[in-house]
Amino acid sequence: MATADESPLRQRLTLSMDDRNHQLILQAGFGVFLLALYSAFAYLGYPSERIPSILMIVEALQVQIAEEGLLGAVWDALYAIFIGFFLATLVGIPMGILMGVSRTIEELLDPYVNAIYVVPYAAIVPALIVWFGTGIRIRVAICFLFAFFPIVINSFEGARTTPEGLLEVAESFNASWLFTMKNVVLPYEIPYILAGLRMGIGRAVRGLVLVEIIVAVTGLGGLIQNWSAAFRLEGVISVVLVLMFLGVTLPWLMGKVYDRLIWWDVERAGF
Amino acid sequence: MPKSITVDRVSKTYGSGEDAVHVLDDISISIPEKQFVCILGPSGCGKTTLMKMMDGLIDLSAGEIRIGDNVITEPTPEAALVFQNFELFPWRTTLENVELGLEILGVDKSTRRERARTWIDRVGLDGFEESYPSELSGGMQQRVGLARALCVDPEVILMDEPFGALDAQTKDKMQTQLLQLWEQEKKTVVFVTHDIRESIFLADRVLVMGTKPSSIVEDIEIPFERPRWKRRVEIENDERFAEIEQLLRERLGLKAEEEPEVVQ
Ligand SMILES: Nc1ncnc2c1ncn2[C@@H]1O[C@H](COP(=O)(O)OP(=O)(O)OP(=O)(O)O)[C@@H](O)[C@H]1O
Ligand SMILES: [Mg+2]
Repeated sequence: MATADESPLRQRLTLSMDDRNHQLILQAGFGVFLLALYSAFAYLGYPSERIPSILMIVEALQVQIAEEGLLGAVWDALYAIFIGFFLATLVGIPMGILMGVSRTIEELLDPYVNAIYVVPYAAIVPALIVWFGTGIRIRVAICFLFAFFPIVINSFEGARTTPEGLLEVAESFNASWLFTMKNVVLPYEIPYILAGLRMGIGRAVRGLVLVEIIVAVTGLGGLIQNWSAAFRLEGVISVVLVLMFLGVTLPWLMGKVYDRLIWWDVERAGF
Repeated sequence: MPKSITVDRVSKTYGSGEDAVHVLDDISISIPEKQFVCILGPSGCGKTTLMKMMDGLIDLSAGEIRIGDNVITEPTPEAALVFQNFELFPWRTTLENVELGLEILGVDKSTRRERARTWIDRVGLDGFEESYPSELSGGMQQRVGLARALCVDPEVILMDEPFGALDAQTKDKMQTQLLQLWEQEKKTVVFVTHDIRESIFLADRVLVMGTKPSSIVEDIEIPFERPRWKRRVEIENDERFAEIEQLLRERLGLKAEEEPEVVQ
C-alpha cells in the first residue's frame, strides 16, 4: 500500500515507512511474534495438551511432500482454481457488460446472478458430487460459481456507470455502437474488471477450501481427512496453512497484475 | 463553408405527466453564417439543453432546428460541441483525444495524427501531445476539448460554457486565443456563458434567455469592430461596453452594481 497519499486521519496512526523494506520488516516481525505466541501456548499446553508444536507441523509438511503427494494435490487445487476462475472470467465479463449497457438484459439476468451469490453451497455440494464426481471437475465447478459473482457484478457496475458525458462525446461525433463499446465503455471498464478479477480469485480460493473440506476424499481435503481421522492435528494444521497460503498469495498476485495494468484510475480522473 | 443555424419555434419538455419539466418555450433564433453569438441565461434555464438539441444529441418536443438547409435529427459532423466540463477521455493522451472525431469518421491514422497535431499547435498545446488529461491544468484540458471539436473541421461550433470552470486569468487568455483563432478563419459559433463581460468581448450578438420555461428575452448586436483580440482594454473601457453590460444585467434581473465608496 502506498503511504504517500494517506489521508491526514490515517497519517496520525501511520509510522513513517515510505521504505518498502521497513514494511516487510514490520510484517515479518509481527509474524515472528505470532509464532512465538503460538509456541508459548503449545509449550505450556494451554488450553490443551494437544497443541502441536511448530516443529511437528513442519515435519508433517515434510512427510506429506515426501510421501503423500502434497505438491500434486496443491497442483490440482491451483489447476481447479485457475480453470474455474478463467471460465468465470470468460462468461462473467461479457455478461456484466451486456447487463450494464442494456436495461432489458439487466432486468432479465439480475435475479439469477444474485441467486448464484446466495446459493448455500455447502448444502448443494452433495448434488454437485453426483453430477461432477469427487475429482477435479467438482472443484472447477465450485471455483467457477464462487468467482463468477464478483466478476460479473464489477463488470456490470463499470459498464453501467460509464460517464454520460463521455458517451455523449462519442455520440456527438456519430460514433457507432461498436466504436462506443470498444473505445468508451471498455477502457472505462478496465479498472472495474480488474477489481472484479481480484475479488474473483479470492472467492475461487474460498470455494476451493469449501470443496476440499466437504469432498474430503481426494486432494487437499483428502489429506486433511486422513490426518484428522488419525487425530494428528499437526497434519491438519499443516494442510490448512497451505490453503491459507494460497488464499493470501493468489489475490496478492492479482493485485500486482492490477497495479501493473492500470494506467489511469477512476479517482484521479475525477468521475 | 460555414453554415447558418435556424432554431424554429422549438420547445422542450423533459419527462411527461406529473414529472414533466417544461424547459424551453417556443424559441426561435436565426443565426447567419460566420456569426459569433453568445447566449446568456440564468442557471438551469436550459442553455445546455438548447446546445445539445442543436448538436442533435437531444430530441425536440416541438419545432425544428436546421444547420444550413439540413434539419437536425441526429448528430452530424457539420456541428461540433465543446462540452461544459471538458469531457476528455482520461485514458487517452492529448493527441488521441483530439483525433477522436476523425477516428470515428474513419480517417486513416497518419492523416488524422497530422491534423490533430496541427490543431494541438494552434491551441497552444505543443509539447503536451503525449500527456494525459490528469496531467493538464483546467485551461489546458479545455484547449484539448476545443481542439477536439475543431479538428473535424465543423461548419458550426457549439460551445457550452467552455470557460465556466476556469479561473479569471486563464479565462482571459482563452478568450483572447479563441478570438484570434476565430478571427483568422470565421465559422458560425454559438457560445453559452454566464459571464456578461465575456459575452460582450466575444460576440457579434448576444441573446439572453429568461427563466424556465425560457424564451429569448433580449437580442442585441455588439458594435465593436474586429479584430478584437488585441484590443481588450480598449474595448472594455469603451463607454458602450458599460452601457451594454448594464442593459444585459437588467435583462438578467441583476441589480445595478454599486460603486464601492473609496475611503481616503
Ligand atoms: N435529462 C433531464 N431530465 C429531466 N430534466 C432535465 C434533464 N436535463 C435537464 N433537465 C432540467 O432542465 C433544466 C435545464 O437544464 P440545462 O442543463 O439545460 O440548464 P443550463 O441552463 O445549461 O444550466 P447551467 O447554467 O447550470 O449549466 C433544468 O431545470 C434541469 O433540471
Ligand atoms: Mg449547462
